[in-house]
Amino acid sequence: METGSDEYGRLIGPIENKMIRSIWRIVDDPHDAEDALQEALAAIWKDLKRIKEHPNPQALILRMCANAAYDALRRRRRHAAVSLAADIEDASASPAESALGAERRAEILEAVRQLSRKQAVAVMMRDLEDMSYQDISQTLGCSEPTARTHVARARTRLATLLPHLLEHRPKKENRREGLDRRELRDAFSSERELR
Amino acid sequence: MKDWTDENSEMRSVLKENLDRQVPAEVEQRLRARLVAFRQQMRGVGSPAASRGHRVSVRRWRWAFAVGAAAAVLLVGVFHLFRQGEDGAALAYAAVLQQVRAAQTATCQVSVQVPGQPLQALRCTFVGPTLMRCDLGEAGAAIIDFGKKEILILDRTVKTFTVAQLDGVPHIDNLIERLRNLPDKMEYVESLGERPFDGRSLTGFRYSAKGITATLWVDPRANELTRAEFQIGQTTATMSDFAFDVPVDQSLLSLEAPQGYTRQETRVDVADLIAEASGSASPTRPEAQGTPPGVLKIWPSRGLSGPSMYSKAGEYYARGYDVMHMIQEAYFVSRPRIVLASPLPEGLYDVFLKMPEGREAQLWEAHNAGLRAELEKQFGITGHTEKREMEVYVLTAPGGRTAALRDPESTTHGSYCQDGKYRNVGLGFIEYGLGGVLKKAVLDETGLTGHYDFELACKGTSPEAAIAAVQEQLGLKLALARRSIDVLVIERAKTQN
Repeated sequence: METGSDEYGRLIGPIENKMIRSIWRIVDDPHDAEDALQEALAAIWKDLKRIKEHPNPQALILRMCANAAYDALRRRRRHAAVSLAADIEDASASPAESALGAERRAEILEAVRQLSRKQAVAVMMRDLEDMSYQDISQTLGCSEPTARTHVARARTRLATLLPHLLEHRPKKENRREGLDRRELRDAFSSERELR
Repeated sequence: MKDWTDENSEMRSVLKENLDRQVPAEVEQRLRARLVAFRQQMRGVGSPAASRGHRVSVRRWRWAFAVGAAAAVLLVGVFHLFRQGEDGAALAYAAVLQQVRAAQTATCQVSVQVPGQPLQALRCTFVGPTLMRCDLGEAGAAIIDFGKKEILILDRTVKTFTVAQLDGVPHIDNLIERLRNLPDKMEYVESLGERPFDGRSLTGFRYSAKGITATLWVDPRANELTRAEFQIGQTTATMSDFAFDVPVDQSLLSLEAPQGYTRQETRVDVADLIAEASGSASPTRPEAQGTPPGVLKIWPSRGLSGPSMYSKAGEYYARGYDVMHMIQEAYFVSRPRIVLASPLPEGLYDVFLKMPEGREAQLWEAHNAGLRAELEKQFGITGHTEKREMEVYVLTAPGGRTAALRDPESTTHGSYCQDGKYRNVGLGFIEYGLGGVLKKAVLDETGLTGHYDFELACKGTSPEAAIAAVQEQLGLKLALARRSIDVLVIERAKTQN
């Protein structure tokens, strides 16, 4: 019979870092991160039986974390996000860079707030956690094409909300090196689904 | 113009570049602490074995009851807390447990309220699994080494100490050690929701078992244990102002008494003390069962309680009285009016009297007469009254009777309580309430000869505070003057072997 300690080691132990990272990247605030993790753990505890029976329990746990982080983000006011994020800026950056980075992150997160929950969770899992669409689909409880749609729509919506961030980026040719083939394929797949 | 595919891919890069940040070490540490607590919660630690029937040897002091009661209340309270091996989902609670488990040292404030006793405030320090110290301000301190099973009690007021043994204790832990063994699961714990405390919103958890209620108040945002309240019978103890892993001077937890202290020792049973603190014990000692009705008995005390008295239906039982206290009761005279011609015996005593059936109403007369007789028989104490001129506080009423002096609601025996409630008494009675502060007798020259109900609370410990309280609360005046007054002269007092 599996003990509580074994369950933790099997379900959560291997993804501790991912849980912390995924929450942090979405909320970008120490207090909200704690609140979000607390809520996620409460949800995990409540649904432990369902999680254990899930085909991909760790993906489900990460979804719970992302959901909690998204909820925390939605609850937060924008001005609070800016000030709190600036408090914990990277010490290696200059004050000006820190302020700019914090402001930009707050702006992006404000845009993420305007996405639907599924879109936000999907795009964060895909773009920040590098999860496969198969894992994302299992996590969201949808088909893989639908998961792709969520990601694509989220990106499009963000691009609409943050056009200046795209305009100020270097030219496409210089950036393509950073994109792998899978990414290009995903993008085109999403395009097909949308049409 | 960009097509949507470009934007789609570019946005991925924007997100990654701006949000793909390392988690700051401080944040990661805090989040990991939550995960560790959650792991503990999933693991579900069992409860420790029970331990009862401890014996401990200690010396009584006026303040010692508070130390003992605190220890007893908390030992019992936390003991019951630990027995609850239940599941639960309160992660803040689990995080608090984790914090306690990880701490090497801890300090907290403990307030103990025993019915009929003044509120006592202690500062408790815990070091490692075996050392505990309780401080009561300038009065003294108690240090317990649960590993060596020894207790040292220091009385700073008279520079005495007692080292006693925790005899025959099969298993005993200090409070923090017990907290460390608290189960994480708490399915049967009642959630009290949030409540504001000192500007903070705290989450409460309550355990009730076998007449003991333990309530924890946790700051869910900071994951801090903020308050722990225990209710055992009518006794309450509140732990607050917790600090963990604070630097502690190890010498303060030594069982070696400081220089200049002399040693004293008495034996008591902690099991009695626990029962007493929980209100489950009979107020009288076993010897009282064999005492014939109408006969007053005095025995050396064996409990920790400082002066306390029970009286009901023709029965009187007092504990922890010194000889001076008994003289005051026997002759119904305040301390400033007692003149000692020779020193009094030391020690603390219990007094018991049960009136025969049908004579309950004569309890107090029998008590006074019996106590005088027993004082003479056991201690060779006799006294007589004479006039002496001395400096006293003269009480006057420049404005006559004030609204603060109400007609008595009851015509029963006059009384005075330590909380400053005087019922159906003459104004000279404030000498009993303020005598310890004024240090001199009070002579009533108000001309107000009636009996009154009134409240008089003196918050300070100086004569000036008492004078001010009388002026402000009763509209009366206290002033020093020389007068010839009745005093009780105690003679032929012999020291008991």
